[in-house]
Amino acid sequence: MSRKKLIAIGCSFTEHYTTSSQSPDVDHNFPRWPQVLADKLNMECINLGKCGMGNDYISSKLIDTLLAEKNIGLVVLMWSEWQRMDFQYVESALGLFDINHKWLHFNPHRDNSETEMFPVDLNCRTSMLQYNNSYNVTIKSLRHFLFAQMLLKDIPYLMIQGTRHISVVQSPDKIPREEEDRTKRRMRWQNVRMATSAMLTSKIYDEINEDKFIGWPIFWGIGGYNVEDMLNKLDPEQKELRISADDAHPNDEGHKIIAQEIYDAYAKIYI
Amino acid sequence: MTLWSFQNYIMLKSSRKKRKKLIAIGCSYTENYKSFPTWPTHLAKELDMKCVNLGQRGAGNNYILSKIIDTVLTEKNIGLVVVMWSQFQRLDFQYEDSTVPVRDQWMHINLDYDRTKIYWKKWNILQNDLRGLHNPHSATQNSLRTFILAENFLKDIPHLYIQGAMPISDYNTSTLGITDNFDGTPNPDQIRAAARAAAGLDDNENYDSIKVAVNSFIKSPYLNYAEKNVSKKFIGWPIFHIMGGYCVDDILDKLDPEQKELRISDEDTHPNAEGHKIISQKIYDAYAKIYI
Repeated sequence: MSRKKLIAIGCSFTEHYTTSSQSPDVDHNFPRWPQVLADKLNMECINLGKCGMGNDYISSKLIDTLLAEKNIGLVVLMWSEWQRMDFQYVESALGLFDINHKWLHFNPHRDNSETEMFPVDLNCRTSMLQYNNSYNVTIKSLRHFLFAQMLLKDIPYLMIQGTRHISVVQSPDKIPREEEDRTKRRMRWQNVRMATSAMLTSKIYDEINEDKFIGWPIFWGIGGYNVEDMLNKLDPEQKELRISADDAHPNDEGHKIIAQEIYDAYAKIYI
Repeated sequence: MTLWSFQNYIMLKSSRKKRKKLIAIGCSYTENYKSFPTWPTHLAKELDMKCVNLGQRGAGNNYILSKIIDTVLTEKNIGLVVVMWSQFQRLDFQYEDSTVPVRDQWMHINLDYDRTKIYWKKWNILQNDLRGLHNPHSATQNSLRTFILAENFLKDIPHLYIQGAMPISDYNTSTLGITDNFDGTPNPDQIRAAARAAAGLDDNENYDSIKVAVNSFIKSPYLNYAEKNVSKKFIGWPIFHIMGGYCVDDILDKLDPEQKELRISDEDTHPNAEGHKIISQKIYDAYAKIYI
């Protein structure tokens, strides 16, 4: 009998990428949490993580998975940054013969227009942030959580917030480092305060099954946590469990810790 | 008030209280903002239900899905939910600040024409830049997923779907960008280039938004599921005229090809009072077929 499948969906905290422009000299070919967890559970690992993607992608991949996959043992969703926006495009002309679904991500809070297929200029980003504000992305993410919970009601599943939920908008102006840190802290606090308030007052908040959402209610201010918080608690200096000072993605050891956290939650509910 | 009329008043009031609700969700084709009643009012009267109209001008399908969730989580005594889906390429956002002139804390971006600049002056930049990202293919897949999610939320409640306005605006490389001349910041070349790139076309190939959307629809991994689970309750499935489906615009155009009788005016092609009665009748017929 074939082994059951562990389906893992997320962003760069989940994908098994082997090279990175952020840290080109590091060997990135180490097992990520989905593989470590699948080994512990004796399941076949299907890793659908994709660098840069947001929660639209994660929800879409979940629907794809449920329509296509059989013999699912566990689905783990590691949610991404809430401000990211995901889109699709077709590679072949008009998609007449081969519709190869490619994904694009747009992070209005970061100026990475140089690497974007459809570059969005700074004015547009600034404008977009008015639309894709903290309140909007919080409620939208809650809806994603609810969709996932509804779709997965008959399948073992767990969710966890991977990266920091709300990021600070990068300032286009060059300001002194110390001042930038201070500004960032203030802005982060404002964003997080607005997002926390939006979440707590939403009708959807009470609908989320907190037993299956590791770290719920996500925000540390109200007793929750995400993967970054989890790693920072064990490694406050970010020297042991991260790739490098310039690349804060979890390293080999970090991924083992993440897998153990998810395994513990799985054991509590399903074993 | 005599005893007789008081008793009648109480009876009338209690019977009204017991009336089930018709929840109507959609865009400007649904919202009751004109001087005449829109289709939800007619339909509710026909079904003897209380009308709850959640239509909103400019709204897209993500707004509609959000309102479905709100409805399922909060409303009791629902008799029927009718979802009139909007144009696929609209984007919806929420906002908390009550000082911003938006209704129900929602903002909408329509990539086909300029509306949002009422609230944000940078609209044109946004519109051009986002066309490559939220192209007809991306918007079509997103809408199909939205239909699937809606069906999962509504499966235990009587419901119907119908596509309101044309799912994708008909634009091609010869007409694309014309609306951007509106405030003197046109960049049609950039728009056409983005549209071509999104469809994987060469520089000289003609871009046809409907063709892209229809191909995306036909090849979608969601189509089988939608055919099996959504189509029975979807008036006019499979939506696109070219595939044998239809939307509200097609229904009205069939009866009034010149758009003189059932539309508000040449400039405003929203359904007029008569148009809304026809839409209501069409939905009632579908309701009667499935639920009566």
